[in-house]
Amino acid sequence: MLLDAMEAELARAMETMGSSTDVPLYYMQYTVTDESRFELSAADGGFNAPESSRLRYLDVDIRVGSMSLDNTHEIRGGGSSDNYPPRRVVQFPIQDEPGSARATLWAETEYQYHKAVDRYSKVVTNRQIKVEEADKSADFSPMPPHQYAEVVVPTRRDTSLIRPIMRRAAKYFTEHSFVLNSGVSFTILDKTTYLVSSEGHRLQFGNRYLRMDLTVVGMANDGMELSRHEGFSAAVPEHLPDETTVMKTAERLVKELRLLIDAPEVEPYLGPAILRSRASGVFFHEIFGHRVEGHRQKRTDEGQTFTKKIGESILPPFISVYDDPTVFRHGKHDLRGYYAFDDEGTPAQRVTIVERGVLKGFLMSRSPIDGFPLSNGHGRRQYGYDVVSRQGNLIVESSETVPWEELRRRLIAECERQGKPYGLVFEDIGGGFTTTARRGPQAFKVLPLLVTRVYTDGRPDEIVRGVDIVGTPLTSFNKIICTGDDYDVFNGTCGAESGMVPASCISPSILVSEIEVEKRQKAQEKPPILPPPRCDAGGAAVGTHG
Amino acid sequence: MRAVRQSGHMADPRRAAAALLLCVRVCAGAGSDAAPDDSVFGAMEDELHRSLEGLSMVDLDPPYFLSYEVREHATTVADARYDAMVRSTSRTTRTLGIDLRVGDPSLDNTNFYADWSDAWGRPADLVEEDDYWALRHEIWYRTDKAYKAAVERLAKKKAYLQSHPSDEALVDLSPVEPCVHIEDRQSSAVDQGVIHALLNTAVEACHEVPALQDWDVGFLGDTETRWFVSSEGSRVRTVGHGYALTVSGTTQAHDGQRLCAQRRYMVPTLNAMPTKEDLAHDVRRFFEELSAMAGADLLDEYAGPVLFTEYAAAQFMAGLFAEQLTLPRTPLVATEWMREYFQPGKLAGRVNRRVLPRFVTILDDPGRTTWRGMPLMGSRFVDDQGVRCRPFALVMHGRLVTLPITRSPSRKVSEPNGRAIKVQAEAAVPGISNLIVRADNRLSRERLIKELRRLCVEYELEFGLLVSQLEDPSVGARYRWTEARNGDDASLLPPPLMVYKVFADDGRMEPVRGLVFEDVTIRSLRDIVACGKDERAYNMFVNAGFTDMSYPASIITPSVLVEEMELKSSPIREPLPKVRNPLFASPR
Repeated sequence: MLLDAMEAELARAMETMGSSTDVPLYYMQYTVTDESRFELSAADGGFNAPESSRLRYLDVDIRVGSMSLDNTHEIRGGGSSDNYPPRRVVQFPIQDEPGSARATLWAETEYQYHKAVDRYSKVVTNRQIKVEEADKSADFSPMPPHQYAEVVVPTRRDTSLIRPIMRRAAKYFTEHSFVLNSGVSFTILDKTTYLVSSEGHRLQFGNRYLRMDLTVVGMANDGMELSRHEGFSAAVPEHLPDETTVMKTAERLVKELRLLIDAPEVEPYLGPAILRSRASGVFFHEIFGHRVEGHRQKRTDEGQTFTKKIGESILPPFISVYDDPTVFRHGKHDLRGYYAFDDEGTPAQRVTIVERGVLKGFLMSRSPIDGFPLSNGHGRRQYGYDVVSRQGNLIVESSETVPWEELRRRLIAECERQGKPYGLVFEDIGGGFTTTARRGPQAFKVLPLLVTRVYTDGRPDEIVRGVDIVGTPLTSFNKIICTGDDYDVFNGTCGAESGMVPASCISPSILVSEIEVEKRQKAQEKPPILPPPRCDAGGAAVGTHG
Repeated sequence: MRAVRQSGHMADPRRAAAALLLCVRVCAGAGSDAAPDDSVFGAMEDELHRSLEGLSMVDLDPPYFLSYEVREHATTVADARYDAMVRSTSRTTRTLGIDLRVGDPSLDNTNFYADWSDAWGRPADLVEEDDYWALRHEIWYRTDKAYKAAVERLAKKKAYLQSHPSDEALVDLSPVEPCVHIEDRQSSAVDQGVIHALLNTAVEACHEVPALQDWDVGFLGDTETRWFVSSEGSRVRTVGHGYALTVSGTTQAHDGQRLCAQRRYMVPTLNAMPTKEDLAHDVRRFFEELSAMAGADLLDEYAGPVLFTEYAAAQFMAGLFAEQLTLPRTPLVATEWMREYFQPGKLAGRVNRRVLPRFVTILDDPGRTTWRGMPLMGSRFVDDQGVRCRPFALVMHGRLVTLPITRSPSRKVSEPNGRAIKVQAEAAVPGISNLIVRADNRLSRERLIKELRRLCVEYELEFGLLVSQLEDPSVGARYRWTEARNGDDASLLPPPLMVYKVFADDGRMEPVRGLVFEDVTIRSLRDIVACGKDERAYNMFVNAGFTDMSYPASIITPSVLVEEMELKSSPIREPLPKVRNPLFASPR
């Protein structure tokens, strides 16, 4: 019913607005995102009430003018609001009632059409008064229509198995006086996308995103807030961790938090380091992946780090990088970056970005750039935002890998060669951010969560705290010396101009000859004055406070 | 991951606020015991005692006052757009508010804002399970933060006072008798069938008005359980319910002017909602009147008498009276830019002065639960600082005699009167409960209109204006495409929506549109020359002042005739639809 109603209303709008004497509408797309969510969470040992919701959201994409120049064209020199419209969230009926569905489509189409006409006139004027553009590619690329229908089977909301596991982990956290806050959460998101376009797309596709997260927060005596976190992603409940895995993870997080609280703060450092596989995945996603998104090669306010480097060596020759959203699973991990079609209705495709160190391509939406006229299925968005090119499953492959022990030995050797007393191993990274725009420093900052110091003189490894990785992209990638054979997956959610989208990165550990870390900003508060109530009451809490 | 741009949102912000403060807290019957098995009370009280005994730092004072407030809201939300549901959810939330004071009642850490977070700090989320240790843990952690923030703020306040000496000898915390009041906990279950029947009735009624371009119907049900304990010995548990059905719609005039209207039914019990027949009739009549307005002639400007009737009379009293009683005591503010957010209401400094004509008296009665059979939403038994609410006169024969006040006294009013309201913020602000406007000389509708016509003749005007509804600013923001607001944001009254010319010669009425008020001041209160016999009660949201949030209250008022007001035309127009609404595209 829904797709029929969308097609009918789209045809009605095209008939009238497509023949408008003002500015003709040449392309329309309706996207309805159906999200069914469930969340169960525990905080500090007690449960919160389960929450569930089902909502649908509507996006109406309208293009007026022509493929070569339309209303989406960059307004050069414009303010932020000229080129990055604010998010517009439009709720859509959750009942399959054609009249209301069509009325909602109609109302939003009217709004978006008039906005498009208004912006198109600004685009035309802007082009007349500004210098000639360096990239003269069109604003939209053609795409053969696709028809596809996939029913996303709703995930069962039965928590009888997972609730006792969560309870046990949540209670375990509260047994430790240095754990100031803790949380355990389980979320389900069943998502279906319905998409029709004036080119004849008729698609229904989706995915299921299950997640379990464990978090503990503590504080060092100098006021630095410290946390450990582990997340498990899956596409089906059977792939979530069992009780043994959850409890082992909980025990590890508590142990690591204790070590972090007691750990020394690191001074700024420049020297060799290993980024463990998941940390390396995040590093590549942030520092490299965002810079090969197609729209960043075209927009005049972007740094365009790699725009003119096609065919040039930008990484060591033993490294290749792909983005392949068609991969559903890697090893034991379901990948969050999987999708069948992107948000412009283009089938997901594997894209070779770097082959043996040489830059080969970019992640493309239907917004062409010089030399890349077509989409490769990477136009993505969260509902309410405009589509831009985004990463899906970023895969870093190495043709020269060594076992972990050998990689560690090479780290020590590199430290000795440089005369450094120690190297750093980044075990876990929480995320980071990078500025790709020209107006700011085109640098990056990555936020490590767990860092180990490896000494050259044979002293035991030592956990340290309080550092962020900083640098600039071109320099950083030249420093990769060697990789491990320990490919692992980081499943996360990536935020950019087009909102939050699920993404994955797969990478081996990498050894870099030089990485820079700087001191992290920290709170100045003292630890709590009174001990946690469980401890003060002679309860079961163990360990020494802070 | 990369920074995300902040989002705009089409959701109704007032609806979000309402979700957290909709319930009526009347005395629902005290429980039979002191709730010995209530683990929420247990956690609050045990942590309160431990904090008072143990919280101190070297050379810094321990707390002299501490109160905890836990609010649990079990909300049911159902929204429809056009004829279909867009949302149907139920959820429970719990928050913890902490009022921790260091220093002493004459000078403590409150009534002073050093930065943004001091003023707009929100209550923290609290674990929702009745798990004694989990609750205590979260209360402990947040009390520690509250204590450190309090001692720091007191130091800043003292430093500020040294460089900005003040002769205002007001204490920071007035003494009150401890309040002990325990009500039984109650189920929050709402019959889904009743909700869906209400929504269906409303959307069907909207559907029968062809001129409507868009309409939304929203239901919000809320059961609030509130726990309050203080170091003075107060121990309160109240349970309240609130239900709101909001019907909104928009249409356009031929010249592109967009008219947006909202009808809200707010009641403390679900069975007080209108019957199916009454609801359908009222919604249909309301939007048919809106449609008629869309077909009305434009009026460019007007200066003369205005008669506010029905809901417009309550909106008039809310905008010019109730919302102007706020912030009788302006807090000390360390940064210049924040000062503009703490402007007292226009009436806050006018105690013992005449603000209305002598024939008007205004009461505020939180104990009244109904008005001529209609349940009131402003009823309260105890306020958000644990102070018992009591009735009083705000205006006696035109003279403002007192103000709603919290435990923070003002120059003119020192004794707390149980009107403290916390609206999604730590700081309490004073608010009204059930405002009752009484007039000595009341006129029938016919006499009021005759008086309006007489004034027109006196001013040599062809016609006067009758306004029966003002626009709700939130509904305008929901439907308008343009970011420009209809009317002046700073105006004390929103634009008139249902407006009629009343001709001086024969009294005939014609709808007009396209007007906004110009330069409205509280002077209009004194310009009231007559009131009607038609007192009606309206449950509505009233703006709380600096928190930019609103709270439910009731205003009972007759129609009011104002001798002179000025209105001008609104320039905002939007393109007409290119395609016809598919719901009405074919003959029905």
